[in-house]
Amino acid sequence: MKNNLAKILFGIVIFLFSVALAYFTANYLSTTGAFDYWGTLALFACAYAVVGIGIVMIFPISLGFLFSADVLILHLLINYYGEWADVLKLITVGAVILILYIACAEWLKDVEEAPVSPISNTPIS
Amino acid sequence: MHMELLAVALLWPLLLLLVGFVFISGWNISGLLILPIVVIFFIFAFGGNVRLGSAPGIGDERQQLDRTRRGMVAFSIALLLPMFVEYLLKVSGNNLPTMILALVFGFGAVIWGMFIRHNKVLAYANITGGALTIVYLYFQLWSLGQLAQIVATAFGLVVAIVISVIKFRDKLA
Repeated sequence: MKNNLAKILFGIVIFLFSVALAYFTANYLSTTGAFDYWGTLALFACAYAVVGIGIVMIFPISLGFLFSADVLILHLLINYYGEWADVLKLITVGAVILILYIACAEWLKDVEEAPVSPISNTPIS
Repeated sequence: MHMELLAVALLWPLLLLLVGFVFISGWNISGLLILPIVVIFFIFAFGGNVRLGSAPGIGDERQQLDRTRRGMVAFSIALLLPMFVEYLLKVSGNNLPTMILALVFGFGAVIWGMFIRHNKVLAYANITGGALTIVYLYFQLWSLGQLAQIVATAFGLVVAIVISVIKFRDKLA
């Protein structure tokens, strides 16, 4: 239990630091004019996703980086999704629905209820 | 072993990304209207006793998480179906044949949801998503004139009668 709590704590710390690092770096690079703000965030998101998937054996680091990548990707989507062409949105939403249907059919089938054992009528001696 | 670990690690970040995508896409289409829809759906999905096919029993954290996962997926499909139709109509320029195709798609989702077995996530998601799609389409069809209204109501009537005949016929024997 203690170990699990420590894992969650370290995961949160890694998540917070990684998100902060991405935003501070993006701010700094855009201020100096060295690199685009959103481009930097996109690069960080990709890097975090790759690192998160790569070191899956260490859960706190993996989850910390993957959730950071989530935050960055969602921020990028909020900023750019409205500018996408309708065809691209249609394809994206269609692909997501298709993936969800496959996932449902494969992994989210109903869990069979355990058979109820018949109640014995014999008196307890 | 590595694949199993990967699946476990990726599950929650992917689900969060999915729900985030649904919010952003919904906001992009309907603006503030997405908020009450999301609130109502969360109350139904997580507040009620709907298990969505997860293991019976309460109190166990694993079951709660499984229930939440199922709720998130059902919620995402239910809201993405009308969004898909909205984009389909936008791309096709709101023409009548596409609307009728979308109507077939919406009714098809509802019928599939009603008759599917052993997968409550898909059942709830399809029925809710299909119903939302149909409501949205009827609003769109009404603006297209009287012919479209006749087609839409006739189609709805036929589907309702067919479902009633198949699903609710009293067995005499």
